[in-house]
Amino acid sequence: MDPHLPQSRERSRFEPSADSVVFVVDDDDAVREGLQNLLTSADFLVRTFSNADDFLASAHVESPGCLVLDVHLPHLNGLELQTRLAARGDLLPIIFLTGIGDIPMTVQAMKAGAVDFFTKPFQPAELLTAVRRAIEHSRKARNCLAELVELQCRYATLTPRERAVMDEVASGKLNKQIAHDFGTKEFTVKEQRAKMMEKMQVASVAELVKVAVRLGNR
Amino acid sequence: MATDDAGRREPLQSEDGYDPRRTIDLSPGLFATLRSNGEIECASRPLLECLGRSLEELRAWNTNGTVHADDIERFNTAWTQVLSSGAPYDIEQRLRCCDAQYRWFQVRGYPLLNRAGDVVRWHIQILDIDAQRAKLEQLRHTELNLSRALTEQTLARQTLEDAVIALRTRERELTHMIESIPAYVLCTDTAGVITHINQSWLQVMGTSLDQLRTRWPDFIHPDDRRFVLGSWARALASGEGYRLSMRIRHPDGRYRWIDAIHQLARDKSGAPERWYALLFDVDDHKRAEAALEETRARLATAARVATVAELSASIAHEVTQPLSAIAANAYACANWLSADPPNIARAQQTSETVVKDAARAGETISRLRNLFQRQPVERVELSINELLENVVELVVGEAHKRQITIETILQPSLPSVPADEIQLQQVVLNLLNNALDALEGVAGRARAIVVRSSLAADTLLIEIEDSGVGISAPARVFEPFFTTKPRGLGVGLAICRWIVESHGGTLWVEARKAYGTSFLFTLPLTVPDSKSSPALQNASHPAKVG
Repeated sequence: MDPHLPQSRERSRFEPSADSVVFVVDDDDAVREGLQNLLTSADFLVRTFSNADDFLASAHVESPGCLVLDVHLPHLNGLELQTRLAARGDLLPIIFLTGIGDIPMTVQAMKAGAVDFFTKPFQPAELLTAVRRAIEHSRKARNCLAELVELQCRYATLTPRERAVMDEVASGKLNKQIAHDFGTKEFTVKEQRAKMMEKMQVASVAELVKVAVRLGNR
Repeated sequence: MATDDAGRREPLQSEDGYDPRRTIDLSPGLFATLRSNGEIECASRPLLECLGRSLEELRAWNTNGTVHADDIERFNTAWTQVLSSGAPYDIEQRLRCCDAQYRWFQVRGYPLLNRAGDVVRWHIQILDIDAQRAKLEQLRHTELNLSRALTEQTLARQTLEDAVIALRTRERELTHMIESIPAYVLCTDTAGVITHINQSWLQVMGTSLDQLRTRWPDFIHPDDRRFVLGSWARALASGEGYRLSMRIRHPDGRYRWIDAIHQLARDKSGAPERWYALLFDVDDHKRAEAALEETRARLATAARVATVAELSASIAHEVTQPLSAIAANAYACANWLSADPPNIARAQQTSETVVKDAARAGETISRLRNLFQRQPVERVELSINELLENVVELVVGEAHKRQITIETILQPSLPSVPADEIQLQQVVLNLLNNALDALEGVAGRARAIVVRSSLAADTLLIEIEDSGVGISAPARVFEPFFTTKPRGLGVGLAICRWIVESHGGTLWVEARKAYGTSFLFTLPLTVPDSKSSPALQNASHPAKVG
């Protein structure tokens, strides 16, 4: 079977969720329309832009997705757009489309965190695979971030003493030792510890250690 | 007791019994009385003791040296006058004293008159004025010295004033010169603290000496600051002058290039005295230089890269865009067809797009080919020597940088040749750049390029020879996409040959005997028939460039 032709098996395996979007920014009308057609035929939600400014102006951070970006763009070029996105903390993975002899630009793009690049004319099957990978990547990153934000919110509700208790517990100390360290009664520590575990929504010390690591407290 | 002539005693008592001699003898002063004829009648005892004479000896005063020889004449004259006139007299003279030394005395005579008004006697009062006289003399001497000194001083002052005026004039002239020369001058002490900045610099900088003294590094371009401060610190430590270029911020916020020369001035003993810095604004020059450099670079790039690599890139870009679209659409078309149920409408629509994109790609290619084929060649009569010199001028800077010499041996007064100037420039530039590259790794022998021009029959011969590494496959160098360079596209020489041949000439390569390579090309003086000029699509020419 020609690897360049679509494979129905592969297609059926992939179920793009309704909330993921593929953004395409390319100033060439034919290429942009071709990409839209290709991605739509592979069941992706596609939004196209002919320049970087229009793309930047549109809101798109709420959902996981990826950006297929041409390096050569009028006004703001692909690399500059990448820099702007990074500057505003946008996690959207970028797949670059480059021309022949754009090696220095490609290197720069990859260094700046692009997930993939394709030299025009590209192989459609490879591009689709890369888009799928990028969306998966985006989803994971988003989930990960959401989780972290949740943990940070919980941590924010702790009193300074509870935070200190959390540090001690996470470092494997017993109530008695903690009480000694703080110069309080073991009973008090026990109460503070229970309150802290409740606020952090963890049931065990093992879980607490994991949370502490995620938060960077360990 | 009054001493008297022993033989002739006369009562001196006046009618009332007063004896003047007693008074005279008892008085500590020096007195004498004279008769009206001038003869000494009597002398007080202190007088006789003072002079160390008896009265008798005193009477012979004008012969025995009692009066100083230098004064005697003056005294006689005065005395004669006094005797005849009967007026009081007052004279200063030197008299010999008991110690045989002459001393100055003031001698005053008062006439004593009888009732008839005739002089009967003279009362003489003598005062020792020697000390006074000596003092006066000393004073006079001092005064004289003083006045002499004063005169000298006045003279000296005059001279000094003249000198000062001359110096001031000179200083003014110098200052004026320093302040107004079209360069900036500053001087610092040996620790590097600025002590003076000329007016023109302060005016240009729009600031004060005080501000510049402490904040001068702020005015230097941040990129130059470390280098400038480092050079300055090294110079201060070593005492060695230096020269550098830096960018200085001017009041309008713009930086201008300034060349600075620093020199340490030493005193006679060789000890550091102060630093002088001379600054020139070279900004315009620098800018012109940069512009020239840029033009040169652009021209070189335009000639060498733009025509070849950039053209290829733009061709590639033009073609890859529709190709990308075709690939995407074709894949999408298959997707629509294999969907369940197949989306025939979208598939059909997509296949139409593919046809459209393919047509566009084809158009692009034919447009480019037309561009190449139909490009009218502008032939003008040009001087090949001038062209060669101009192009050599373009690369001479680069050659200098790479320590390569370029020699031109041009046959004078060559006839002009009909040619496209830009195309021929490209050929020469390309060959020169190749020669420069060929010399890249050469060491231990001359790194030289020779450009020659000559005339043989009705054909010009141009040769560009290098002492470089040589060519391993001379037969293949004109093949399109043949390259020995890591970054080369391999179309330069192919295009060169095409250009030369379109001018009716030939381009070939010869290996030099010992080392190096010569590229030679001919240009016929007569216009070749433009229809017979080789076209790019000809298989033997670099049509593959497109």
